[in-house]
Amino acid sequence: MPLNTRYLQELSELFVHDLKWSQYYRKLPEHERHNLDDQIAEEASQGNYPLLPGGNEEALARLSEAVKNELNILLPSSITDILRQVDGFVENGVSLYGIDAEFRDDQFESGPGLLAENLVKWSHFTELIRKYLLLGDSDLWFFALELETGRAVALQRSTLKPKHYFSTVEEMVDDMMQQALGYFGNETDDGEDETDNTATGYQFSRN
Amino acid sequence: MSRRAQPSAPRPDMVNAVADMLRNLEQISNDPAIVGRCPELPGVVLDKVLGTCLDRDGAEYAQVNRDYEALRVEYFKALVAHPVGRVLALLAVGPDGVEMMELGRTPAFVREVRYGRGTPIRGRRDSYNCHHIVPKSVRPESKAISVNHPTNFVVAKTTRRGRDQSENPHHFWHSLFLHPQTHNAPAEPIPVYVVRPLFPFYPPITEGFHTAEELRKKLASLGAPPLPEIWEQRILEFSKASKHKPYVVPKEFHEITQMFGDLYKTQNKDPALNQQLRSNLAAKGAQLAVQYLPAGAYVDGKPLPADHKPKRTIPVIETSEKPDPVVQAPSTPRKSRSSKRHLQKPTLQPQSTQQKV
Repeated sequence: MPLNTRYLQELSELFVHDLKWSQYYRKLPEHERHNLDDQIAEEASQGNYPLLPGGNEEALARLSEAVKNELNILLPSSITDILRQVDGFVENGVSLYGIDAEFRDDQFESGPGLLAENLVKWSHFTELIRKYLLLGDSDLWFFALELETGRAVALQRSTLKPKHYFSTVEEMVDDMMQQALGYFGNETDDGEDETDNTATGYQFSRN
Repeated sequence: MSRRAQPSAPRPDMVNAVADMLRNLEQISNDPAIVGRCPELPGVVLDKVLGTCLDRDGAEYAQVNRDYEALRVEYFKALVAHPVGRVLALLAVGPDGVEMMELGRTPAFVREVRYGRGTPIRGRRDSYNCHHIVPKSVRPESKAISVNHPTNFVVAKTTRRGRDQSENPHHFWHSLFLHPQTHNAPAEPIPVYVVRPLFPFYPPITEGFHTAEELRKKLASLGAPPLPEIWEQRILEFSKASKHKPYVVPKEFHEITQMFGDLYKTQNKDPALNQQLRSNLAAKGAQLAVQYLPAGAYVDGKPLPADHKPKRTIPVIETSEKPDPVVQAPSTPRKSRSSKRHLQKPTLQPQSTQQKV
């Protein structure tokens, strides 16, 4: 099942915007800036999402093999289907783990890797071992696949207890992208949102 | 572009709350030397909070998200709207990070971009998350503590480079202190020692500063005014404690991951071995935590005995129940043997004075 293309498009646009406003970009030599701009335009014209690439088959195969060797589990096809569409992102406190850099040809570290993050988290939070494969995290949640059932679930970050089950992994990743983009719940797609904060119980002392 | 990315002024109540937060941080201690007391965790104290570890079943997933996001967007905007908060933000997350926060976004900044023939563009960014000092899963007994108040937030670096977690102090705090104390915790109120950084951003700097002049020069280059003396001194102490280099989580705290990898590779799918592995790891994690935590702290559901003496020094404070404008003077830092002694009793008592709004 495909991920929400609108969210992918918006995240990509956001990353391109951030890049072009960054100190890094401004300090690039002019010819490098031009080359980068050309590459962005070319990827967009091919229907891809610049700065939000999908994973390629070779890298996915290497990741699957490593997951089998180091975590002793088979990487579910639902996960490879996601990574094929979006090879991880980090935005607004939300991270989707991607293919670890060591399994890609360029070996460029561009964000948290799925195998590394699971090794780290499984070793620190022993309840997770073999029960959940983590796909991402945020300030409040871990996003995971429950290995026994194949269900996608948001776990409370501190207690590691399941908080919300999604009907599909894609639905969960769409939800993560919504959070990264600042879209929440039943907000409408147009019109003013000045009242949103009030409507959601904006109170410091609520807890 | 999402609607979120629209600049707007922060709400006045949040601006006031940020001012409270900065004032509270200042009141923790007027001795800048507190910053360097724990070499592994410079600029961090443990705050003893009496609370109940609970599963917050009261709100639905989406509602919790919405509430937190609304709060966080306003918090980021207010933090960089505050004159001191803005200067601290410039030092910690740079001009790019400040621009993002003005839009209510979590700060991040581009370090490098790479692409090649047939290889798509990828960017590497330093990223930060908003950390709850008292976790949302802990209900504090004290009415002076509000989990969703800026006084309970810190913007913490969460950059990850594969298995190298040295630039991820945020998750280090969770694994070293928070998880061991909340895991298997009893249902009644217990003391929880939470990680309270002395800065609204952690780490507070991305480069070292040997002198106040160096720091002021840097700020001038960013178009920012000098910091008030208390913050200037804290920054300099932090720089000294991290040897004038960018802070990294010490390597010894990554060993547990290596141990996991090694053990797991050699075991078969034998359930008994798997259980043993979990026990070994839990013990290893607890071992690290008890080196810092004082007697009475809970680790894996059990209190540390009264005669427990932590091996390492980290300042401990206690957020008091009743707001009190008078802050006790910090104890004079001791040298030689006694400087290694953990403070068994809270010696510094900052008051949580956040307004309810």
